[in-house]
Amino acid sequence: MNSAIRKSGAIAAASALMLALAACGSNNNEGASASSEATASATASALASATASSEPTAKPDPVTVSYIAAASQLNYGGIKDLIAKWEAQTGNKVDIQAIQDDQYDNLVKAKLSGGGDIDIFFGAYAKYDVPNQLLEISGEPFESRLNDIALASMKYADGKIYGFPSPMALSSWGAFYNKKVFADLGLTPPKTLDELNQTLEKIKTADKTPIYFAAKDGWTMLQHRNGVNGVIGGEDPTIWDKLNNNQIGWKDIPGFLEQYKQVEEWSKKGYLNKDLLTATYEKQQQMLVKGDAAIIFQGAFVVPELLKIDPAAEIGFFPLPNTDGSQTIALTGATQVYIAKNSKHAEASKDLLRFLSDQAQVQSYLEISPGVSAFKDVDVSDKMPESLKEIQNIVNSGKLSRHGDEAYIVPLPYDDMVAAYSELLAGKITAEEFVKKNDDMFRKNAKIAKIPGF
Amino acid sequence: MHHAYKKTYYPVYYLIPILLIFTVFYLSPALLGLLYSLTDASIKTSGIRFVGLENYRLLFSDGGAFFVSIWNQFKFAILDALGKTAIGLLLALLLNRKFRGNHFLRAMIYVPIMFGTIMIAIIFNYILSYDGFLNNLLSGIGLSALTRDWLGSFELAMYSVIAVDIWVGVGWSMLLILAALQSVQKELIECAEIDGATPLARFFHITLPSIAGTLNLSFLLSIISGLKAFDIIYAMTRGGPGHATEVMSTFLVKSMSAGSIGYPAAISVLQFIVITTAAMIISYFSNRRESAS
Repeated sequence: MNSAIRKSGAIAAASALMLALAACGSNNNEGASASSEATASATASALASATASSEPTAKPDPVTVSYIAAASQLNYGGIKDLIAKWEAQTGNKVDIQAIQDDQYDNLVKAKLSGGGDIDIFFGAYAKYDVPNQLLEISGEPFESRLNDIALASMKYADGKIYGFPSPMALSSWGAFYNKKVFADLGLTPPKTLDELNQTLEKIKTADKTPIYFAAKDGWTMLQHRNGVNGVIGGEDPTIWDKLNNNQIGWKDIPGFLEQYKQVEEWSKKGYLNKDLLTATYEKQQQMLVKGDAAIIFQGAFVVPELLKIDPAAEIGFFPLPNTDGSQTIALTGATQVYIAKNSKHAEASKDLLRFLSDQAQVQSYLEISPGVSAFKDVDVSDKMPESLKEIQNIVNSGKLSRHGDEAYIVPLPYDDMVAAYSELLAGKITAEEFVKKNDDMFRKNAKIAKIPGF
Repeated sequence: MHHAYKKTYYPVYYLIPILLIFTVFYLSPALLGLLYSLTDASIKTSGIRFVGLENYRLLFSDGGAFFVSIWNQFKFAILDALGKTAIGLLLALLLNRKFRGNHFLRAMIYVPIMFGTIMIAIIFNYILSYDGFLNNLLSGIGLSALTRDWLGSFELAMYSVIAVDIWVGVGWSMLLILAALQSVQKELIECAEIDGATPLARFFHITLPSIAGTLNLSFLLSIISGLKAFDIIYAMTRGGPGHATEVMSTFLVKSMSAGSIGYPAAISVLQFIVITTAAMIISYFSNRRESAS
């Protein structure tokens, strides 16, 4: 009898395992959507006048395209209106799914992995199994309209393009400062580390917070890291290739350690806000605009938020200083918008993204949410606030490096990075320990992500 | 009159439904987890390769963060259980006396356990933030020297979260102990009073021994609950600042950010071993105590 129980248990266990493994193996359904392509293929024709695509041969049945965006992205540039315009022109529908920002990546990965119904989504090549999950779209007209950095960022390691550029402004990172505080104290934007430290001391003496960090949400704190990557990428443009090939590690980059020695010093000398580990992004903005804090390290996307608090706020920008004052900044490539390889509406999705990246729509988007354009045929400098003009001037001067998260192929160990940054800012670890942790966590992630050479 | 009892044997196939449920929902996931922990499975790449103990090696070479999370989990569980039981005892002793508002106070103390954890975490994030209610209150009554960044301090964050969890769960311990107190023999107490025993002597020599089993139960159940703690910690601090409030489950959740399946599976296997071992030790001592009493 016991034997019978054991046998039936073993059979049930084996059956369950086989079912589970079969389910796991069912993801490799390349080309599963081929049949549906034909249905939607003529959708593009309805947009011929707006997008210069080919003439229609027959009006297709309307389709519904799923457009999965991070919730915050949908607040800018009148993007929903642009999508509505495309819907009106084509008769197709767009199912806009707004996902909470911090859950976005995991949700998209889960949908892709599970073969879920997904057409259009955002991201970076490092986050996906590019050839197997993303639709290749090389040869689209936007290629000749992108600036060099944006075009380079659109190309995957195999030289092919798997995404459309979003009309969003390019971002850059560095120090945003309150011009009135600087003017009242007789300060000018520092270029070297020595100048920066003298500036910080004078601000502290004036009883203001020299640098305000917001680490309640880790990502706001990590904008400083993006600025640091701009500095080291400017000091050695080959740095990302060397790191990608595992020829060097982070601890082998002197400029990287130098930047974090500064952070260690800021913590020791009391240049940072006391509530940095629970301060919010919103409070950081308010402190800068009010002039209680003098400097924050952020991305260019903070500027509209600062001006919402006080449209008359005088905000300036300077790149993160380094030893020789070379003043380079990292510039993102265009935000990439992908079509799932197994999308059932690939042609309609392409058509929508062609429409959103054409000159008229990009111009419209950037006039509402001004910033540095990825497109050579769109320029909204005259509509930019002062700090963004300062970034545009640096872009025009060519003192640029690629954005680290786009150039570096190892996925960011986000939570480990947030923990290490918190420890450094709180004075719990030294700059040397931080750099070693940084090196270790990226190596571990490279192994987990199965990146060759690690 | 003598009753003849006869043992009845039921057919073994009666067990098949429960065996199937157990296999599909418990055994298979556990076995799959164990298998995945030995592979490089990932939601980012197709194809699975056997990598032996590589995921475990990566975990142990992770700068000790996993061991910190184990230590924090036990620290949380033990302090949380001690707090709930000790404060629960004091509250039960108070509410065991008859006074006006007694029942209202009991309900008030028990109410937090009925609130959603995330809601509690959001409220306490506001109360304990640097410019939140608690610090404003302290400043308002002239105790600004006591203001702290309760959730942002590496030294205080764990104790802040434990305090909130005690506030949530102490009502349950209190009710358990209150029930035990009400079953203490009144005659014994009265005899001791007549013999001139002081209130403290009556408590230590009569009341406490009478409710020791319940205190033990409250402590052990709170420990087990603490070893599983995740939601309140993740919602309040996400395991931070740094790794100050990192416990095994928050460590596991964070390990998923790279898209790997094998590495988190290795963590969950070790978590299973740690918690099962702890539960077996607790069960051993609990059983020994029961058989001794």
